[in-house]
Amino acid sequence: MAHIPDGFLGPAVIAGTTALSAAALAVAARRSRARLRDRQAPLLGAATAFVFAAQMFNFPLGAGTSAHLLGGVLVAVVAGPWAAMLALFSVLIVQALLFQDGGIAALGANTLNLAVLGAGGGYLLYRGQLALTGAGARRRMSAAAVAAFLSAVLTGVAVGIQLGLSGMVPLRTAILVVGGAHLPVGLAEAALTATIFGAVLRSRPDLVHEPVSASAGRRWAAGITTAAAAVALGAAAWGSALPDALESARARLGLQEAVAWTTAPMPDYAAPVGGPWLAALVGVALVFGLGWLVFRLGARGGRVA
Amino acid sequence: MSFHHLDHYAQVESPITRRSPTVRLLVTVVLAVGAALLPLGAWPQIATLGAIVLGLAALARVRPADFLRRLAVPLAFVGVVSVGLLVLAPGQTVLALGPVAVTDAGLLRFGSAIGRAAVALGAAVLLVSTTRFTELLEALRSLRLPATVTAALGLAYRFLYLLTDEVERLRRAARSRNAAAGSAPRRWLLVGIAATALQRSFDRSERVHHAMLGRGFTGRLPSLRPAPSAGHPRLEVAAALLLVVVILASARL
Amino acid sequence: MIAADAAGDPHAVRLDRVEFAYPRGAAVLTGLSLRIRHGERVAILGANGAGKSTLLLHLNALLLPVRGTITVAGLPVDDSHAREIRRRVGLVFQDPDDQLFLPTLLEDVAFGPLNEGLPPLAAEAAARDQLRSLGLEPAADRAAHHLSGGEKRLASLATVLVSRPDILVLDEPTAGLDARARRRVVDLLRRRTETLVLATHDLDVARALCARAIVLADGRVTADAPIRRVLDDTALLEANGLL
Repeated sequence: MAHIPDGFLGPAVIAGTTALSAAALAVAARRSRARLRDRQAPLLGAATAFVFAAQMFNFPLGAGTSAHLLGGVLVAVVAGPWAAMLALFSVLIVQALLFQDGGIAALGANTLNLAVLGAGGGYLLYRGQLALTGAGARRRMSAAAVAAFLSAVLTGVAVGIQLGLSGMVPLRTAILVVGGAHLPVGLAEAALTATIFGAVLRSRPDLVHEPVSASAGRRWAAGITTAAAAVALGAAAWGSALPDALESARARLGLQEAVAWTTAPMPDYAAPVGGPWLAALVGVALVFGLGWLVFRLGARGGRVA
Repeated sequence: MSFHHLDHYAQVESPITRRSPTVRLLVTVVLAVGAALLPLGAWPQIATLGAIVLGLAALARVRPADFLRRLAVPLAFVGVVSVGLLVLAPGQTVLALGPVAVTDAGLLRFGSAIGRAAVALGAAVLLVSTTRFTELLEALRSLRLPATVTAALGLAYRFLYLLTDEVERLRRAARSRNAAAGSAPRRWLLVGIAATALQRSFDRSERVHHAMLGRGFTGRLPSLRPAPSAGHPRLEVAAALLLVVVILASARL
Repeated sequence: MIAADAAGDPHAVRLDRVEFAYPRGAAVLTGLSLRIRHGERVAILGANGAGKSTLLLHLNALLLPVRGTITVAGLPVDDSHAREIRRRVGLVFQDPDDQLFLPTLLEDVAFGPLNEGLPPLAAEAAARDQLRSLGLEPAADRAAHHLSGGEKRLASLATVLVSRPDILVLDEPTAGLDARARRRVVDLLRRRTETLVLATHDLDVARALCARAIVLADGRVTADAPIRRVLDDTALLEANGLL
């Protein structure tokens, strides 16, 4: 379940994810305009149509199951991350409004999960790998496959975090269940992405978004390492802080209910100040902020427009 | 794969369709977000909002059978997905089912999720039953969504039809050549078709780009209806907003 | 219709030893020279791969020559004159679906005028007029995929005619059409007075519409003569892959 329907997310999560994704889209709009200029509109239209069709298209996996392509990483490696984010956002709007696939209030969260983390984050993972391994066609395919897998799982984890923070299910359970459910999705995504990307690389390499240059590569590596370190630190801090923060929140609000939560606050009461919500949101923002900052610093010089 | 309802639903004349697409969209969003923001267990409020949505659907002369049919599929999906909520939320056991137990907190969340989802989905079904794709684009444009997004959607509409035609043609060609007997080869065939379809989409986008340049395109897609109709229509949206705020407030008091 | 432009040049199109190759490909145009006067109706004939479509894309400044010069409507074909050239030249592509990319026909036909700066109401009026003159007004609010092949072809012509170009450049305007649709397109084009450059495989259509034929092979001109002489020369046609 990558698209979250309405009715599952709490007000704070809706507000927070909407703000984050709006900010990311604003950047994407500006950056894509600079990069692609007038070719952008038709390219974006084609990418949007493809993602739309791909998400409706079920690839049988055998044993009666099937998977559908989320498409974010594939479009990102072919058309670039900004175009991909915008294309996915366009798809999500139409899906929410005309196909009832994904909620309207949940649009911010779905955009964050699928467009920003899925396509944008997936692209970061792709470029990070290329920076470390070099950019031949085989390496690009495998980098895209790994990026697709990780981004699918990342999407699942994000959905789990959002469900947990909304108080629907305990946080740890949500992350495990939804994140876990995205493991097979990630595998299918990796296989499909690599194969389709490979076919495009073979027959129309000129269509594919810019190749990696050496100096940009080093900056990418630095960016990814920093981001990874930040994730590790953040996760550790969050993990250790969680029980304490929760205890103090419960004591502060006088919550001695019959329902004993092991994690996650109760959204139907006033939100506790600070606590695990803030830690998680800050952690995510930090990772991406750092990664993006390094990417930006590395963006000048050595990049083909 | 069918996108035909993008063209076909939606054009029974009614007081609803007489409002501009922007108003229809905004009221839908207000109702859906209102439903989504309701706290757990706010049954009277869920019912009230639901009644409002149904009332508007009646006003829009949507046939009840159509409305229910369009609502049923996404709502069933929500139902399936919510089942997990019954047993994953810690609380007092209400019903023990072997290793798992349905809890009171689980029931609360299950019911609330479905209730809120039903109302929000109802608002969305109302929109799709009264608004064509082109009108939706008009509404998004008037709401100042990034030009990139509305341009992409406008072009995507045609691309999508062309793409599905392409895919159909590729599949027919493959079938006529008796390609892919057996499921493993069929999987590869589908992947091959997807790859070809992607490349053809991008190829076409380049040719379309040329066609656009040839007609003077400079980067911004112009619109035949750029100015949103100001003034009175805001009244409906304000009324809906007020109503929803009152309902939400009543739930949190 | 103009007989000569402001500079007194009687030529609508002039190519001098034009060479062109795509960035990662072999040469497509290998030293092409030709001249077309205002008001002439010329058929460009040639086998696939001879360079017809590539030549046509140059006439609208969508491609720029790698070597040699091109002058269209009195303007040199380069980046700085591209916009003005595109105002004077109407290029109709082989595939009408490339030309009809907006959700409704009306928007497609109004696209050119809107880009030229006409206010929305005027652009819509011009588009409706154009559609009416082609008998397509009832379809104005429909999407292109609801039209028949012939109607789509006429619609793609409309998108270009609405801007009143001086020079009409058409790439296979009758490809894939049945006899009736072909007749409609030919009748329409016969009545036009613009300079006409028509790339086609359909020798009958070429004969019906054009007074002169230029034959391309391997990226250069191999014959340039009144059309009757070219079409009656079977040896020439065979040598150039046209029969």
